[in-house]
Amino acid sequence: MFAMIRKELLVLLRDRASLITLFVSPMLFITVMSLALSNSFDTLGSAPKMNISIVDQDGGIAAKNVVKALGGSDELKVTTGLSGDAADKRVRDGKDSFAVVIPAGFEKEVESGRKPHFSFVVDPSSSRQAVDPLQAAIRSAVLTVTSSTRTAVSLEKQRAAEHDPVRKAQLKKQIDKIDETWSGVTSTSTFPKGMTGVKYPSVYQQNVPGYTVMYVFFIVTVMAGSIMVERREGTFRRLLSAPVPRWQLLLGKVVPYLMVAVAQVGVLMAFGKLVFGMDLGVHPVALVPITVALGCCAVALGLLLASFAKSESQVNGMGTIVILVLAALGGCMVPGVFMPDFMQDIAGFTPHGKALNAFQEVMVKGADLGTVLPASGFLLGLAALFFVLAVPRFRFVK
Amino acid sequence: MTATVTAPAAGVRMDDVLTATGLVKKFGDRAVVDGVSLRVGTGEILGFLGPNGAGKSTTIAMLTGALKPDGGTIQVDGAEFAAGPMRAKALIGVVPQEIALYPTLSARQNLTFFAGAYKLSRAERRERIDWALDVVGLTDRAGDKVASYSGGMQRRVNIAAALLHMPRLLFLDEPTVGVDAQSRNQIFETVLRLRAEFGMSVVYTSHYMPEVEQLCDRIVIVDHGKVLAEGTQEELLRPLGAGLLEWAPTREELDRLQGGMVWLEKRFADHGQITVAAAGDGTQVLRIRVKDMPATLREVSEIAAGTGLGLGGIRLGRPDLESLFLDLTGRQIRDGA
Ligand SMILES: Nc1ncnc2c1ncn2[C@@H]1O[C@H](COP(=O)(O)OP(=O)(O)OP(=O)(O)O)[C@@H](O)[C@H]1O
Ligand SMILES: [Mg+2]
Repeated sequence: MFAMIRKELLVLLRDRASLITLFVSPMLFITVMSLALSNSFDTLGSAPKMNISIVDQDGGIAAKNVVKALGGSDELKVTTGLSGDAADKRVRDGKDSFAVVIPAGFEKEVESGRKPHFSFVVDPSSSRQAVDPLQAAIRSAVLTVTSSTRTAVSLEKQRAAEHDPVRKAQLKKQIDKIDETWSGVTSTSTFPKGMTGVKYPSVYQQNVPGYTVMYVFFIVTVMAGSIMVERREGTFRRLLSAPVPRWQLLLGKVVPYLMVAVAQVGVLMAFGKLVFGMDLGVHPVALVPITVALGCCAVALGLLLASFAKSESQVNGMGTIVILVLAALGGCMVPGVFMPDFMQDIAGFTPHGKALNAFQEVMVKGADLGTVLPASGFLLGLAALFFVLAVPRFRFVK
Repeated sequence: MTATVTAPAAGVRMDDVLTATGLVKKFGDRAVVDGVSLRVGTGEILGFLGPNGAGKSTTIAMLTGALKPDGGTIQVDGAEFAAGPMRAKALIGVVPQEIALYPTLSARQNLTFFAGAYKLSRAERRERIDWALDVVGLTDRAGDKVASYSGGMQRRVNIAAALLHMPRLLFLDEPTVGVDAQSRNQIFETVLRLRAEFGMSVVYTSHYMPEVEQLCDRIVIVDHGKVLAEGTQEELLRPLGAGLLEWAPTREELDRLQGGMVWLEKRFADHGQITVAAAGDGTQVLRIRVKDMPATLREVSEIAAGTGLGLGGIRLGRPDLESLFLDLTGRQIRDGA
């Protein structure tokens, strides 16, 4: 058994064409497609409506000035005077791209010289590329308003304390501190109540797992091809005369290619991570069960193909068609978010789509082991089905 | 490498290492092997002869467990094959007709793999591989890819792979096809040496008659999936009589001869089995399987003297497997090759 695995891997190592197919060509695809598509992925998500609302929960001078400053602009429609909940609802309903919330205590922070804080409530589906600059502009507007307000207030207070040396010294200290810290406002972004973020994959988080899944399935033709060769050359027949049970001969084919599939995923994910800095998510361990299940599925499909194909050219022809069509349907080449809904539904039922989705759940949304088990189970079930269909038809000799 | 079996003295019948009865294999409706029975004695070299497509390789595939018979039974070393296939397979070595090796691996890597398939321990493995490489004379090139070998060298690796586990019974399915005289002699010597040193039994398939005549103790001839004849060379050739006499008179001689070929046939009626075949240029050739050569030759000279027929068209032949084969199957064994 160990001898079979060793032999299979040795043979594969000598087969440069297959190695290139399984390892090098997906790297090239990932690189080229990522460079070609890098722009379109940054704009993933709907273009934002240039509507925002401002909620003033403080009512101080600084807050009023901020509202005033943001108020008038042709590109930007601003709704004011809303309660926090009302603004939240407008974002949730998709009326506004985000709301700016100025919390109570804002004025105090401005006065005391601490960095004043405010927050955004953002529609998770709006495009980062459009929202980010707008938020940056608002941040700098808040900064300008608060610092000038601060200056004005402190000047006024200074004048009032003109004849009180103790008070004057105190003020001086305060102003010095403001100078140190006034360069800042802080802001946080949250989603409206009850909404979780829809995060979009980066171009690498699409292409790396996409082409990985697609090329793992190339194992189907490589494996079926190697079975056809052993049939043609009579090495299988020879092994049938050796004291090796048939199931071991089968496993001797299945196990090494499963190992190759796992190695493929490992190598390509590492390639994405090391070369492109692709994010693997918070629980990279969760990639493991998907990988194993994906490998099983590909290997079982290879066995199925070898059981039904009549010739080596049929293996290559049928294999390639199956691989490419399933990869396209599964969203390996064109990401699902670019597809109409019904296509996305179809993708969900292909092994490719299932595996790719599960990979992205982990990498993009930080899914953990438990979350990816159903998808892994689906792939294993499919593998079992292929296996059960293949084994009774499998022949070792022509 | 201890052999528990020693080479038998000539003529001593030992226990059979393999017996098969009534083997049948059908592909679709066609019985490719149709009731073949045979036995192989310990230390015996059995020639397995038959024209192309006779069912030799198919029979061997069944005898070695690569193919399930549709009928019949096989015993190896006294035990039913089907009852303990793993045990039976461990006693058997097969050199397939095709080069069943991994061409991108070296000879040593191939042998290591097959040694693993025959469950040799790590220590045994090295020793046996070196030994097998030495037996087939490939020690020098063992590290090279099999694909870079000549046809004859590949054949020898093919043989070495079947020797690693020291089988008690070795099947050689046309091991000398496409092999030059030197390599063929080496294969030959290997077979004889394995028998002499280890008492290995051998089933040897070949299309090359002198090989079989020289090598085999006993011969089984098959065609259309059936055994046509079986026995030692002597036993097989005995019914062929003392030899073969062919007489091909020229056209003019035949025209001059009163009664023609029919008359000539009658004159030899008592001398053996007679066939008359058409020769190329409209003449005929008389072929007699002679029982008593001197008597037949006396008859020939009498006829020649009486009729004026020339002796130029007369050819004499010794009985051999080739003619027996032709007789039994109506085919040249090498089918035009
Ligand atoms: N898997 C198969 N399916 C159908 N027919 C087969 C199969 N294997 C062998 N045959 C047929 O069975 C017959 C016997 O084949 P086999 O290989 O046993 O002959 P052979 O005696 O070894 O011939 P050769 O001297 O050419 O090697 C041939 O007619 C062949 O076409
Ligand atoms: Mg054959």
